[in-house]
Amino acid sequence: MRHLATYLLALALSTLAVAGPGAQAQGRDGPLRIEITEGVIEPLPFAVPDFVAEDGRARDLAAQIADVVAADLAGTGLFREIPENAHISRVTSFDSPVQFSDWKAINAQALVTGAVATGAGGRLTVKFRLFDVFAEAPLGEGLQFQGSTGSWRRMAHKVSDAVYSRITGEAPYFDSRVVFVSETGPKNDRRKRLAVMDYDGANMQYLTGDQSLVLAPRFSPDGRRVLYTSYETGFPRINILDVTTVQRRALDDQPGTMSFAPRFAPDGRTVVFSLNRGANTDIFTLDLASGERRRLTSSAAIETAPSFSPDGRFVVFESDRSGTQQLYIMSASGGEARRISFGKGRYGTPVWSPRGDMIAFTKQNAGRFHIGVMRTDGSEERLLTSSFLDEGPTWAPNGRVVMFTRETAGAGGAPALYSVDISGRNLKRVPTPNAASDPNWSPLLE
Amino acid sequence: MQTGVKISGALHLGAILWVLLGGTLFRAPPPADMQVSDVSILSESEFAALVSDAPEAETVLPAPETPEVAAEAPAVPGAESAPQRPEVAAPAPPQPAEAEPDMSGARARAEAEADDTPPPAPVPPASEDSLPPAPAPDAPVAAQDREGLDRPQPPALETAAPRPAERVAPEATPAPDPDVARAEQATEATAPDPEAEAAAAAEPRTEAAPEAAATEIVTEAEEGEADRATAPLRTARPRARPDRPAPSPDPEPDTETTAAEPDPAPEEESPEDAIAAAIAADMANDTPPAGQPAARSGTPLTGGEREALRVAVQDCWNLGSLSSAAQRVVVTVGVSMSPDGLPIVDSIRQISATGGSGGAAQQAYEAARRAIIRCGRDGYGLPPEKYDQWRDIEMTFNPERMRTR
Repeated sequence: MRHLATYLLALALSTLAVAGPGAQAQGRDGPLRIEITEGVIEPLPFAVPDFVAEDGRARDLAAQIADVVAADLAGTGLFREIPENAHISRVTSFDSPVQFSDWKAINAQALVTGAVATGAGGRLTVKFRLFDVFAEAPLGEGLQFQGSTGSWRRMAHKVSDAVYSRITGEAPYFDSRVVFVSETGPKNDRRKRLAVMDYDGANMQYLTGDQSLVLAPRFSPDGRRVLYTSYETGFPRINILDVTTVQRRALDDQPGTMSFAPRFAPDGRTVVFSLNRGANTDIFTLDLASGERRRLTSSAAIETAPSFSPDGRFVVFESDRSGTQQLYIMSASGGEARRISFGKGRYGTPVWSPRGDMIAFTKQNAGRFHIGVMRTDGSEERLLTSSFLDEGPTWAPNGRVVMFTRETAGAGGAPALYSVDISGRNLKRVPTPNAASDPNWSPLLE
Repeated sequence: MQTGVKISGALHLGAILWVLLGGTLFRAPPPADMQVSDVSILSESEFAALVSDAPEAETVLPAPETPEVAAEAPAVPGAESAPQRPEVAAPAPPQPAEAEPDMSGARARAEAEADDTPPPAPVPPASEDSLPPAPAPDAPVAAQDREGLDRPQPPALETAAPRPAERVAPEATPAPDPDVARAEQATEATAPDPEAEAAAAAEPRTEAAPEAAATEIVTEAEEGEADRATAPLRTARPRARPDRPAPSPDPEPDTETTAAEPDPAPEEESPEDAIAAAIAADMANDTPPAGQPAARSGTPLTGGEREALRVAVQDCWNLGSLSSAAQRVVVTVGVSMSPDGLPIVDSIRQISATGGSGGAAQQAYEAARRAIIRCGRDGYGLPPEKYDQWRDIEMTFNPERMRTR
């Protein structure tokens, strides 16, 4: 009987040992450990009170710069501005301590404070600090910019760039420009001019007149020149234009051919483009210094819309060599091409991301147009938009945002510029005074 | 002697295991005998006579139960051949306008596709004014007319196409009324009740609702697919808690009375209340069996307590403003807690980070730090008697699942 009790006791103890390992483990030494695998994706609330004007002449600019900074950040869709009428604290001095409790109370997680001063000769000084409100600590060092009074918007964009990069870890893109085709007049007699503006639609300026049709402007890697296709002679040919002097000249003008869809190589010394001769269209490169032309494709299919990878080693382009319009990648020196698009529909106008990891494209399927992105091997395709007509994507300098043309249907339809985050969020129209198409984003300004 | 003991022990052990694992004590009871009852068939006129005194019952029942009842409803072509759907859920209760997402267009499309529908179900009073008049008995029901019919909503399925929202969270949240203030937790509006004792002591609170949230990012291209989906358009949710009079606060709490009478459930739950409630509920489930000592200082946190802490932190872990590189970083953050459950800000430190560069790790760490501080500003509601267990915490923030959203 005593042995039986021993067996039963052993059985009970072994059962307890099996049933309670978690409880035993919980009681071990060391800190409590938990793993967080779910979070939220939502705009981060921030506050940008008016910058402090350190002299009377800077008062208006101080408020305007704060407004531009707030608009830049909120426009990304990653941040949400807390309006000024909700602020409890007022920042009256750039160096006074921040009342973090007041900003916590309105759930501002980031706070940007700044000051503006004007100096001799119209020099403007803008300085700012960024704070993590809940940590009650500055996020990085404060920065100061100097420039002319007329460039106050650029200085505001630079403040935004610094704040954006410091919080997100992404490269900046606010201090950049967009070249595009501005369109006026009725649909059957549309006047098209090249224009350039800040990324947010401000400071628009025309680069060409409206005497001839212009298409597909493309910035050089340094942002100082623009390639575009002109119908000045009645046939499409490629022009190169200096943005500063607005001087232009034709490239590789050969009788009997049509050249179009130009784009700079990353080194800025080579241009890749399409050349139509007879019924065939192939891709060529042109050395800007020597004028040497080199053929990259030689199939009977139509091959166009070439775009270099950021390292200059590859070219992505569209071709109908398989029977339908698809995307292909080949070496920058030509040779065998590899197809990367395999979904339903037709793919076109591929553009390599400045980061090198993605390719944006236009897709037509089931009567709808889409702007999409995919990995450079064709995987992880994701359509970001859907409309009657979306086309011609261009990347922001940081590879996080795509701008494109969206045209509405009908006789009164007109093109406009839109931008969207590569996650598919924050689809919005870019303000332009007229109808606009064919945007191309510049690199970050120097 | 030893042999006998071994044989005896083995037999007893076998008997115990047999009893525990497959013995008759735990065998499922045999199925009950089928009960057979005689039934008689009623004619239509007899049934109509039986139910003629209770016409109101039809407005309560969600769907017709028998062909005879259906015959009394407005005739719809094809109704006689329509399959019976006794399992159809009750009509969707009238929802408060502020909690109702605007899906009228999508719902109309989905309903227009259903041609073999049963007769129109009872109409919730709230939407009665917007409905078209019932069709004439012999008139065919056009598709556009059927769009307005409000029928019982099918039960929500997890496969329902997600709707776009500015916020992406583990659980979807309907779009709140634009006039309602935004808060991390929903709060019902209260107003002082003049008849209640000490009602003036109760502070009126403003109604608040969390931002609309989707469980994943929905692009414009995917949004179109959502419109075409025939999946259920409404998520089955518990009804809003009805308003109750504000509990009269006792100016001098009587210990005995308080102990004898449980506190009424609070009408509004602040974040810490929700956490405390979750912990309390889980502790109730985790109550040790009788005979075991109750939890004392040094007792490990229960699974529910750990889960409540995890949920509290994840609600503030915002990856939306992080770069794609930072969203690939798994960062472990250490934090020391004060006895009242507040994180000590100065103690927050990065312990490790994997999957990204130094800059990306820094962004990931700062987002984690913001989460810990922001959601812990009122304390995490951890059990004080177990302070030794949560004095120091290491939280690993792993965004792997969020990257697929």
